[in-house]
Amino acid sequence: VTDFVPFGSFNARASSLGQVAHGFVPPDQYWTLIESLHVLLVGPRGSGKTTLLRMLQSPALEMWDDPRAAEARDRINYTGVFVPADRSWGAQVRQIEQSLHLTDFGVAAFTLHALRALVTAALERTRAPRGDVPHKRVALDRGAEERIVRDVAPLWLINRPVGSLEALRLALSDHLALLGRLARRAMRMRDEVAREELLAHELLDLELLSSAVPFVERFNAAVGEDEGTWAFLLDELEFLPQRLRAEIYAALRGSDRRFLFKVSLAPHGEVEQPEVESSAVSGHDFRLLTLTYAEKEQGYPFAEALLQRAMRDRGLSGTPKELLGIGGFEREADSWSEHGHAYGPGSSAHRSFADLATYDSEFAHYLADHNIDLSHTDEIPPSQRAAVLRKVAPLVSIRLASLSKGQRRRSRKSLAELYSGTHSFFAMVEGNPRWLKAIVTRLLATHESGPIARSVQARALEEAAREYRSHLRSVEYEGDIHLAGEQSPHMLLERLGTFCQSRVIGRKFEPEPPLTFIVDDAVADDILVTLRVLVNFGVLVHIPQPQGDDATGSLRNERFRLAYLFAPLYRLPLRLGRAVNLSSVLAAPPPPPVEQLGLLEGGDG
Amino acid sequence: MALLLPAPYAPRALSSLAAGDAYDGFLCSLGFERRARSIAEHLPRATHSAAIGFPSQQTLSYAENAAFFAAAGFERQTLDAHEFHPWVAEWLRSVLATCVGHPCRVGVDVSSMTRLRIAAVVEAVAQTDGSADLEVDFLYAPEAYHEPSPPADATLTIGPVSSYFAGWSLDLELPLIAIVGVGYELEKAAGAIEYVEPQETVVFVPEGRDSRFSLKVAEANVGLWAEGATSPVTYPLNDPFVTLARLDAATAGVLRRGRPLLLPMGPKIFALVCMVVAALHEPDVAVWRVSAGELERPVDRHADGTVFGLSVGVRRDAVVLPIT
Repeated sequence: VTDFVPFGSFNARASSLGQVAHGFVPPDQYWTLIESLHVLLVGPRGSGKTTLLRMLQSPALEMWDDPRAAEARDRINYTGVFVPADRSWGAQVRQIEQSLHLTDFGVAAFTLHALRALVTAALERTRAPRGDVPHKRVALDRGAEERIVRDVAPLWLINRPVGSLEALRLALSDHLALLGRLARRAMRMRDEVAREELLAHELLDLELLSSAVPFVERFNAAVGEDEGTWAFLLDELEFLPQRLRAEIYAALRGSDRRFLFKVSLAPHGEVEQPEVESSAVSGHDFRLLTLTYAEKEQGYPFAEALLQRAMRDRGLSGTPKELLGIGGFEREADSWSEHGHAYGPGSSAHRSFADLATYDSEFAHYLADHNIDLSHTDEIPPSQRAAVLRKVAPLVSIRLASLSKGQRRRSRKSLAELYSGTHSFFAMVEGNPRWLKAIVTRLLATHESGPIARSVQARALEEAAREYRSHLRSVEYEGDIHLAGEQSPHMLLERLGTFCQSRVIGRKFEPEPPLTFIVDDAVADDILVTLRVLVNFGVLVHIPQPQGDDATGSLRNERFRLAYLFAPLYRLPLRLGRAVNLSSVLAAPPPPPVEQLGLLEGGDG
Repeated sequence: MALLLPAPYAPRALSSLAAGDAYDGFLCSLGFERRARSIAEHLPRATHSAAIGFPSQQTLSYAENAAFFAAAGFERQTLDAHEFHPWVAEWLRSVLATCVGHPCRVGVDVSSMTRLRIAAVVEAVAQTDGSADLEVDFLYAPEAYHEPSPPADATLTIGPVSSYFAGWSLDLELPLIAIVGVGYELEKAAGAIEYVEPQETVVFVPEGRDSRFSLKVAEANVGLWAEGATSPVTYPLNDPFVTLARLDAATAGVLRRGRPLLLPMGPKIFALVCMVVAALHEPDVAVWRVSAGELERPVDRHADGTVFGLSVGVRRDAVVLPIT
């Protein structure tokens, strides 16, 4: 049994800034993110949003030990102000607001946190650099520091003398403590007077940008950077109160050159984000960057770089391709050199096709319908080979490996082993650093040198998929309790997976089975809630329409596929496949267990 | 504000509960499991006795329990979670009002209470105005061993157990550190950790007298502490005061470097201890619950014949000493 390694243990926030910087592998999106633009960074859990934002902070840039760090330091000419938020904080604020029927409490609390982060970033700039090459370090004499905080403190409703940035930061903490005390008193006393006292408190009137301006102006002037820009790096926007989100979206249109906003957000978040479309237009005022890869090959370079880095950190020489080798779905290509194409008589692919045709009459009919004579594949024009044979090769492998024991030959690839090898691995980790690190940690825990056996790879990938699916049981289900057996995140994944499975290894041979879903108008609103969770957890991957890049708006009429991580659980090929309306999937009766799917009586998966 | 003073409660056999164990007020749940009345059956009648029912899942032993509490003269009401919260605060006030000239003794059987109810009781105790001395015995009748139920299809609630236990953070840069009590529900703890996304996890593992339970706990959480979590801390199921001491020490340590979030799964007594610890550190410590609510199949749990618990004193002018 492979040791269980929680996916969550590879959370960027779990690491110190030094650790984040040390292991940082930039995806292509990073080089757009660093530009002096407002950016909305969209990705599911684990896709690296927090890491990317943290790598815009000066200390991280100084500690990044990579040849490309110099370029990043040169191009990042603003001060990054990282303001974290998380589910725990969001829940704190929501509980108070619901308990006291407030709407602006969370906005005030977050504003104080953001101002505190602003002061922290300024303070950091006055300190010694964390690495050999400084980034945005300045000298601030004591007198100038005192003047800044003396001027700003009353504007931030700090009524006691403060003489340093550190004291200013502590005073903001005191504000936060006061806000919490007032809220708790109002909840404890359960009377309107205490609530009104909280509502009337002037801290609730603080606004982020108008409060930040006087501080930034004075700091810039003191260090001789009149045009100095400060970038608020706001993580996990979905946990912020709705009004604050709307204000931040509006700020994305802002033209104040002193401020940039780079904010991260779950795709089609757990809450609707209608403001994006109405208040800011992607490509015009800000850039929308997505961290998912609809086409699997788009994520390969990043996955390869991450794996290479993980190997280096563990002292393993060689390349990812040498470590993982060629996978089950790729082996047909071996025969290219021998036969001029992969399907000539004697090739492994040819053997597979012939083997399956023996047992699978539907497949045999498919070949016959396309006038394919397997004994004369050399005579098939290349275009027909591609259209008829190559496109079904993965399906053939899966169906063959799914044959019942009585029909199985020892020489056949096992179902599990199909899901192994470099490209399958890259596809299945979906360019998600947290998934990749969790799986690589399992793979390399006891590995010393040389390639990793395909069976070991396949087992690690399948265990990871099974555990991640199981964890969906712990995700809050907000739909109709009576439908939880069908519509909870865990069960909906199961429903979609088994649907696709039934079309891949069912009695009928479908050369292009449906593997993607369109959220059509007939899909009930209840389902959308669960779909958003699945998208946010990376279980469903958005496939943008040709002209669209909106990954934050409505789910309606958008197309999704199951993450390839789950492919081995449902015996699915690692390809997009045909689209089908989601409502028709949900309306269809659940498919029978895999053992009863028809010709194929269950395999060894 | 009142000051909370936890103290040990000596474990004993249910059958040994005697006249000396009488309370001014006794509160328990009228639920579907047989053990809901196990402690009440053995206790002398309190001046104020209340058994509060649930609006749903009135099945299994519910009717028998209701008949028992009716015959025993208990105040009986059916309250949902929102109704219970203000009710218990008022009930406690009314009990305190009758204790003139002597410290008020209250017994609370948490065995069949939901975590929401336990939270409401602990909050009510912590929020008493301290105008009278109060001794609360939180009692627990452990269940005889039974196999874990299959996992529910979904989680209906995962979040702060109440606004009082939501916590309050002054520095979001500090890491969120989950202190997780695990049970024998397969991968439930791992899934909850995945959902909460703490930066670090400390795992508390129950040690019971039944080796089958320990084995199932280990199986359900294979390797949870192998990597990504710090070394597991064990706690004795039958000694909540020792558990409290260990949890309080862990929480105090976490408070020095992060934001603690207590996530009690497994035995209910650990949830109680979490809430008492959070009340001691209020408002810095959050307590969350993970519940499948009505999706969880009701099980008619029977008491194993023992009772243990945790005493909490509430003093007007106490000096609080370190627990450890």
